[in-house]
Amino acid sequence: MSIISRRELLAKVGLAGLAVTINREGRAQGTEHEDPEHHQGEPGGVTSESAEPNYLFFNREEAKFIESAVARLIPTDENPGGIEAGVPNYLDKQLGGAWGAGERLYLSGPWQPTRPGLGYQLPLTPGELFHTAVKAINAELTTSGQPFWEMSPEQQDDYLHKLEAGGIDLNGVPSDIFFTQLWGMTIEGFFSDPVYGGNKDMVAWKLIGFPGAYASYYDVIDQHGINFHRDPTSLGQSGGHFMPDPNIPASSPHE
Amino acid sequence: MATVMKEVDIVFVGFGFGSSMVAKELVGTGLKMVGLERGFPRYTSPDFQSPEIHDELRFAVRKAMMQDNVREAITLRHSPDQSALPVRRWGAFLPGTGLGGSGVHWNGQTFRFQEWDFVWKSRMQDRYGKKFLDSLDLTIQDWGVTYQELEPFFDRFEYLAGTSGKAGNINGKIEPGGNPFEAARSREYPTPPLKEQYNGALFRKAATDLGYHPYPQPASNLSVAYTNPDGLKLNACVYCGFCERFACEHYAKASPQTIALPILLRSPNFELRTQCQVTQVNRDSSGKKATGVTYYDAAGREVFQPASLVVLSMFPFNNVRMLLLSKIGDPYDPQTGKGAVGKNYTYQTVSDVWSYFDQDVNINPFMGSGAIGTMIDDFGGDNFDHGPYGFIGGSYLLAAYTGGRPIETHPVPPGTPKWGKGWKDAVIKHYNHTGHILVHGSSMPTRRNYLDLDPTYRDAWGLPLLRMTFDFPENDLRMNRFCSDRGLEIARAMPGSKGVLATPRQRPFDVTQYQSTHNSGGAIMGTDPSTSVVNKYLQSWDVPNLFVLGASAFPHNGTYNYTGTLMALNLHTADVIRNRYLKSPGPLV
Amino acid sequence: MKIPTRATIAAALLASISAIVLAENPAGPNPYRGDPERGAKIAAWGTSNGVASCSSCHGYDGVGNGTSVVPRLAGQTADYLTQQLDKFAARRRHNVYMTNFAQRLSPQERADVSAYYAALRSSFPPPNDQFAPELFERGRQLATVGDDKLTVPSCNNCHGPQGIGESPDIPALKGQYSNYIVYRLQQLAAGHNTADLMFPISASLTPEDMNAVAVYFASLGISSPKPSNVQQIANSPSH
Repeated sequence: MSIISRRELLAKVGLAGLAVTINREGRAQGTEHEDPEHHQGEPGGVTSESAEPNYLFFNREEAKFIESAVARLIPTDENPGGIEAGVPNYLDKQLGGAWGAGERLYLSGPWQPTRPGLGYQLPLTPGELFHTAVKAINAELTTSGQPFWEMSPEQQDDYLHKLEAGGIDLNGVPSDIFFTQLWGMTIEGFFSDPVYGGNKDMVAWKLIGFPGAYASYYDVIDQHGINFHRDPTSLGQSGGHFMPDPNIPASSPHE
Repeated sequence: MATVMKEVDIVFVGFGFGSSMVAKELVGTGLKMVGLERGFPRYTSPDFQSPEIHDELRFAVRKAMMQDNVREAITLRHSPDQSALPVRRWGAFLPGTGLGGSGVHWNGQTFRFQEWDFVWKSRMQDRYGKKFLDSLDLTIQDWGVTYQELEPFFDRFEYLAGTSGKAGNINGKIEPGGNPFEAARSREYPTPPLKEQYNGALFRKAATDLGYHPYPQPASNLSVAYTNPDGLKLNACVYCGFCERFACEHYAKASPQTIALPILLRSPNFELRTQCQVTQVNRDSSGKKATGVTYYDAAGREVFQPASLVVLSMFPFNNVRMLLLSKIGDPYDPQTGKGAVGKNYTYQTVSDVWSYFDQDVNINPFMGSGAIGTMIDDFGGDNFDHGPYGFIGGSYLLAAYTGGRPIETHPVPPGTPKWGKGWKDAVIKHYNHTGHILVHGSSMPTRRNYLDLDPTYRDAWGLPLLRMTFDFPENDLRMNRFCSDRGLEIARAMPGSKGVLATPRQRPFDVTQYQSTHNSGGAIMGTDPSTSVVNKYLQSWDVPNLFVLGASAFPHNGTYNYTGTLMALNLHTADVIRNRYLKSPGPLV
Repeated sequence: MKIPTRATIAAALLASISAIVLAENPAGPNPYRGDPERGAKIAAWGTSNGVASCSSCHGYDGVGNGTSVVPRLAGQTADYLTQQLDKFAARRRHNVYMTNFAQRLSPQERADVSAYYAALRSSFPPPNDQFAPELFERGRQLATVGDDKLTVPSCNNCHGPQGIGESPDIPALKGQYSNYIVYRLQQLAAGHNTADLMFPISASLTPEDMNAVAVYFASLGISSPKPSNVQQIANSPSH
C-alpha cells in the first residue's frame, strides 16, 4: 500500500507510543503520487528499521555526545525532534565530507584571535573543530565522573548553556565557537532536504508547513491567507536520481 | 613564458551582467571581443533545473554560486588603526562567480536612483547648508553625470529585462498606484507588477492608513511572458520562493543567460573563455595605455591577451583590487586623503522589523519571488526634510518574503529561548504567521572607509588579498534607527498584529550576518581626476583605453538596490564606446 | 500489482470508506470538502440535473480508453480536478461538454466527484501508440532539461519529477494519453488565454516536439517504457 498514515510513519521511526498530531482538517498525511516501485534514497545507509545511523566520522563516544546534545537542542515532545529527524546522521555526513574538510574556507595563516564582527579565525576545519571540541568535552566530563549522556536532561541543558556562554577552553577551541557551529549545523540538519541525511521523511517541514523542493505557486499566491495543505516534496523524489541527464553536456548548447 | 593570444579589439574581465550587456550592445560593430570569466559556463537548460536548484542548503547556506574563499577571500578591519583579519567564509555579502556572475542569482529588484543622488553633495549643501553637512564628516561627492543623461539607459535596461512594475511619475505627471517619489521616467514599465503577497497586502493596508504611499516593487522576475526588443523571450515567474542565491529554471529572471548570452553566442566576433583567472591589466612603458590582460587558464598556464580596449567588469571590490594589483592610479591614503583608488567604499544599511500574527493568519512565506515586495519610499533618499534629524540619506520600507526557506527563515518573537523545547515550539507556532518588513537604506562614504591591498594575506595565485576597512558611520546608524522606528509603527498597524520586533543596525559591522551584497565605490566616478578614478563614462582618467564598469563607480550608495542604476551607467558607457570612442579613441572628457 | 475490476472498486469504495484517504481540503476557491462516496455515485450514474455519468467517457476507474481526447483522471489530486471543473464552469477552460456538465454540478458535487477520482489507484495500460526512439529521447530532453534555444524550460520544473504533478494547479502528466497531451498543447498554443503560463511554452513547440513530450509522458505510467522496435533506453529516469 503506497499511502501511509502519520501514525504508521512515526511507528516506523520507533515512536508509535507517542501521541500523534493530526492537522486541523483531520487529514492523515501521506504521499499521493508515490508509485509502488519508487523509494527515496538516503545517504549514510540509514536502515529503515532503526534510527541508528552508520557513523563514518564520529567515533562511538563522540556519537553519544552528539546524540545526547541534539536531543536537548531540539527535543522530542509531542512533536518529533532532532533525533527523529536524523540530525546526528546529517552532522556525521557533513563533517565527514567536503564541508567538514574545509570546503569554501580560507585556511591560510597567520592566525589571529577573532574580534567582534570578524567571524571565524581558528586554523581548524569544521571536522577538526568537532573532533577537538567533543574529545575535550568527553575527556573533561569523564574525568569529573559523569559523561554528558549520563546526565539528567536538566544537567545536560545546564552544561550546554555553559558551553554557549563561552569561557571554557576545549583544547584550543573556545566553547562558544564550538556551540555556535553545533547549533547552526543542528538547524541545518533539521531543516535541510532529506537527501543530506537529516530532516528524515521531512518531519521538520511537516511541523512548520514548508512544502519543500517542488514549488510553483503562481495560482495560489494571490489567495491570501489560504490554508495550504500539500505534502512536502524532497529533492530525492525522482527515483533517487535527480541531477539533469548526465549525457547532455553542460556547456555551450549553442554550438 | 606566457602564451600570447591573437590581439582583439576588446577584452572583458569578468563575464557577469555588466560585461555581457555591454558586449551585447557592441555586437554588430564588427569588433572582435573576448570575454574572460574565472568561473564555469552554465545555461538555463540544462544546468538550472528544479528540484535540484531548490536546494537551500547547497545554494543559500553553503553558497555554491559564490566566490570560493579557499582561492580568493578578502580581509576586513573596522578602522585604519586595526589589523585586518581574513573573511574566511562569506556572510554579510556574497560575491558571485561563474558565467553570468551575480546576474544569475540576484533577486531582480530593479530601481532607479533619485535625480539628486547624482548631484548628492550639491543637493545636500543647497538644502541643509555647509555647516550641517560638515558636522556629519562624510566625503560625499557629485557623480559627474545627471539623471537626465542616464534616463534613456535606465529605460533601455528595463525594457531589455522586461521589468515588471507600475510607474509613479511619467514625465512629471504623478501616476496613481506607483511611487510618487520616483525620478521621472519617460514611459510605463514594460510589464505589469507581480502579484502581491499576503505579507505585502497587510503592509499596504497599514502604510495607507498611516498616510504613506505603498507601491509594488519593480521586478526583473517577470509577471507575464515577454519578448524584449532584441527578440529574446522571458517567461512569467511562478513564485517558487528560491530566487536570490539560486538560478531561475523558468527563464523568468532577467540575467545574462536570458537577455545577453543568446545574442553574444550567435555572433562570430565574440569569444567566451571560462575558467580564466585574470591577474593583471598590462600597460605599455608610458603607463598610459593598456596593452591587454594576463590570465591563468583552467590548466594554470599563463596567457597574455592583447587588446585595444580593456573593460573591467568584476564584482565591485574586485575591480578595485585589479586596479591596485596592476598599479593603475594612486591608491587612496586615509591619513592624507590623497589618491582615489580605494576611496569612498560604501555598503548598504539594512535592518529588519517583524510582526507576529495569530495562528489563523497564514502568511505562506514560501510563496515568494525575488522582487515581490510592497513598499514605501516616504523615508527614502531625500524624500523628507532631514533638518530636525541630524543625518542625511534614507531607507525604503519593504514587505517581501522572497521565500520561506526554513534553515534561514524561522522567525520567533522576542524572549524566545535560543534553543531547546521553547525554541522549537516557537518556531512551529510562528513560522507561517509572521510578517516581515525590510529597512533598506543608503550608505555614506567617510574618510576612514576604504579599500586597499592587504600586507599579509594572499590568494591562491600568491597575490595580496583586498583589504576592506569599513564600519557604519554614525550618520547611517542614526538614519537606520529613524527608519526602523517608522517600520515598527507600520508593523504595529498591520491588521492582526499581536506583537512586533525591530533589530536596528549596530556597530561594529558584523561580517557573519547577511545584510546585502551591494558593496560599492572604490573606483568612483567624478569630474576631478584627483578625487575620482573614472569619468562619467566610467573611463579611467589614468588609462583612457580602460573602462571600469559597475557599482565600483558609485561615490555613495543610495537607498535602493543598485543593479538598475549600475546597468544604466554601463549602457551609457556602451553607447559612448559605440558612437564616440571607436571613432576617436582617447580621453572622452 | 493486481488490477481491480470495476465491481471490485465499487464494492471497496462503498463498503470500506474508512480505508480511503480523506480528500484534501481544497486549496482553491472551492471550499467544499469532497466526499468520495457521493462522488462515486455521480461518476457512475450522473445526476438528476442532466449530468451524464463521468464513467461513460472517463471510465469508472478514471482510465477511459484513450480514444477521442478524453483524459485519464485517476492520479490527479482532488484539488486539481475540482479547480478544473470550476474553470470549465466559468469558461476559463474551453470544452463544450465539460462546461455543460460542470455548470450543472454544484460546487459540492464538483468536490465530491473530484474526491472520488483522486482516491483511485488505477493501473496504467500500455501506451496506445508506437514511437521511434529519437522521438522518445527528444521528449525526455524537453521534459527533464528543456531547450535553451527555444527558451523552453523543462516540463518537470513545474509538472514535477516524472510528471507527477504539483497540486493544486499543475496536473500530473505521467501516464496521460499522448493524444490528449497533444490536444491540450495545441489548444493552449492557440492562445485563447495568452496569460496562461502554458501559452508561451506550448507556442514554442513544433508539432514534432508536442508529439515527443506526449509520447514520453504517456510512457511513464508503466515502469519500463518500451518503444517499438528498439532495445531498452538506458538511463531512463523512470527506472
